[in-house]
Amino acid sequence: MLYADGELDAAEAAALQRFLKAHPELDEQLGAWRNLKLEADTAVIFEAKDTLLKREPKRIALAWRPQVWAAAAAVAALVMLAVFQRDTLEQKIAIQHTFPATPHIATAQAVQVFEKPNPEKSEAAAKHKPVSPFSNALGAARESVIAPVAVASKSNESLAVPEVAPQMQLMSLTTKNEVPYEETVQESERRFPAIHIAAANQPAFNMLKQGLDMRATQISNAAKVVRETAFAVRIGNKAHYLNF
Amino acid sequence: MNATAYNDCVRGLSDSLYRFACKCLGDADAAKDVVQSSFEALWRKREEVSTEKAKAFLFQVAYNQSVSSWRAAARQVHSEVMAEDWTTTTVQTGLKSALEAALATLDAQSRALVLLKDYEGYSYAEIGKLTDLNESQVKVYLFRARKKLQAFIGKPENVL
Repeated sequence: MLYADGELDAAEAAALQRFLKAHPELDEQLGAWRNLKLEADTAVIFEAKDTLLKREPKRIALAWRPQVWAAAAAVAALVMLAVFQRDTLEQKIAIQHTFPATPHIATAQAVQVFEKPNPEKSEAAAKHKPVSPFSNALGAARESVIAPVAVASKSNESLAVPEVAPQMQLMSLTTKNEVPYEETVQESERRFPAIHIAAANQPAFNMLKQGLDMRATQISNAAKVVRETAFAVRIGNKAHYLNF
Repeated sequence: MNATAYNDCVRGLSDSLYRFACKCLGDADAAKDVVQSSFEALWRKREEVSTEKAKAFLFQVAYNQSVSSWRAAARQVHSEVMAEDWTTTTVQTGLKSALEAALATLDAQSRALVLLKDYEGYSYAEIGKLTDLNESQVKVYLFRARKKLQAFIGKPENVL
């Protein structure tokens, strides 16, 4: 029975075949065993397959053509750019915001220039060090905007750093509605590159924040839709699935 | 296993599972119920059952349900007296239908073992895993079942 059922290994089957060859009278018994094998009736089918099927996630099938490839590449590039911009916006946006110490200093152009931290000096001393322009590239770019104001501020005693520095506040914001926290600009720039925007006053600050939040939400929603969609790009008969 | 792989199993395995259940139970409606409940069980456990093991899982569930149903219906048919010489020649044209009739005389477990071997081509070891029997038991039960089949078709009145 094992031989008829194909359960013998090669050596055992060969040995049995030699034995059967030597005893041909046993072929009839072997044939009788093989006649007992049932064959499935393939005409019998299960007709209610549809009742068993489950819903599959939607796939967007794109036929492969050069124009479609180019369009898909352009869309992918735009999405990547949007996601990058969202990620950039989600970095902490440091807004230099100064509140002058004395009431009579109510200028709308209050912007301070901060020295790049010197590692040899203590952090406490660095916070209150007199201003000087930055030397790095980021500082140089900022200098071109801020330096004229700093020159003007230096001429005004009420805007001198020793008086203003303790009240300098840096609002770090994210587009994820995190609770704002305060840190000095030196600390901020040490930790990460940021987009430093000078806001003239509190209302301007609020409007800027609102606009950035709305824009970030739009980009985030668009990126989410793309991430939740599976793209199936067909090349001939083969499908390539793209997930972002 | 996701929904796509599950649906592939439905399309690829439902027919063979239905044929197996039909032969085990001898009742098309009961076989449909077995198929439905087997696939429902697979869907419920789709996180645990891989695509490669889906077939074995389905047949194991169908086997258990078939044997349980059969025992509940208490349709145990005792075998005919076995012929001593079971190399009797038979008329080939009636052999297939005679075998089908002979299969119906077996008990549920023997019938299932024969079907798993002949219809689905499972090895003795695989059949043992599906039916919770050891390999020796599978060999013995199959041998006895085949002898009963041979005894049935060995009688001329059962073939012609």
